[in-house]
Amino acid sequence: MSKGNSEYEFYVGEGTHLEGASLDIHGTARIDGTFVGKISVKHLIVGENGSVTGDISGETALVEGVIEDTLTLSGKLEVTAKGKIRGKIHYGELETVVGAKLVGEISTDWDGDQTVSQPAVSDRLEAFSASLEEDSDTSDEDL
Amino acid sequence: MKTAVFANSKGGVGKSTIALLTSLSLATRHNRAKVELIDLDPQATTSDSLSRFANHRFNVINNEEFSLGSATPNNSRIISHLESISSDHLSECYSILDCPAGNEPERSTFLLHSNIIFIPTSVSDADVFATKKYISSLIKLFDSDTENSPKKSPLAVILPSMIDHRDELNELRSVLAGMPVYFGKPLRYSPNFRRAFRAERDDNNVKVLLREHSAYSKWITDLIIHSDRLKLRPKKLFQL
Repeated sequence: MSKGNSEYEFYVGEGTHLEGASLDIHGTARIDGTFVGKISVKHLIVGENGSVTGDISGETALVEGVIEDTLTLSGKLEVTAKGKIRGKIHYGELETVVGAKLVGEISTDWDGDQTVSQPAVSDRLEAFSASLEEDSDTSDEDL
Repeated sequence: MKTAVFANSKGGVGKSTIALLTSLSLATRHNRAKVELIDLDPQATTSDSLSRFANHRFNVINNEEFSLGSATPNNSRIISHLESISSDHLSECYSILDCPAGNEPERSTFLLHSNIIFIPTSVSDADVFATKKYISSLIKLFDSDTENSPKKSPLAVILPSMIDHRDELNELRSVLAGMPVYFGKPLRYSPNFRRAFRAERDDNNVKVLLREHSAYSKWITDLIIHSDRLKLRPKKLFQL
């Protein structure tokens, strides 16, 4: 790791196992340990020994370690030679090298147009749930 | 892990509609729950509609291997799938199965591997007659299951569906009074049900339904979650 930890809004160090969190980070998150949960982040870095499992959404990501489950990015996904991603992957741009592994359902917008006005498939349920919570409860009446 | 089945031999009683409402309610009300909707109907109405919400914790399955055609389920495949899910020992994991019309309990041993079987019906004569026959076959299936004691049979719950007046509910309760099953809360009729399955861009149709029937959704999801609290088969119709 070349940068200091203070450069990241969120950091999980090597040897740390974090499970069950749901994070919304307006900045950069770096994972060098293990994270299981949900992350919404601007830029995600998964270090060589890092492992992230869950529902991940954001703008860009650099993957040197392992990601499993759902990764939805509006911008660039960079996967290095030791990087491995398995699951449902959606990206805006992709940069990768020999050795990187991407397994699963991989998609991007055919025309490269990112003006998507509705959430990506993987986020639709959570966006829908959030929109239900925003409104007051209009309970049905008993007969 | 809890398994709930929506079944009746009669079509148009609300199985798919309530299965849609229930699976989506479980997933939206419990944001850590893993929910899977297994659509056994070859028409795939429910799975086609809900697939847009699929993510890492909401799985929508329409697997041809679960059916042998003509509304006949592939029991061994379904049972083995349910057993594989339950072996994960996840407490917040729910499997919701939507059966096609024409389902026959005597050919559906997978029903014995569920926690709760919901039998939707409206108040019409055709629905009531079919529901009575279906429940009789279901009880025979439960009684033929020599491996389990009656206490361990799945719960059977009649769901009064598309009711728009209390008199209808009373009538339904009266004609089904002798049935040794539970009688659930009524689902009120709403014109919004006509739009339940379309994939609107903003999902407003489903949002309206979930809001409109929020108390019902809470009741049915809580019933699934706590289904093990109701252990005995009632001797006659028992209002929940």
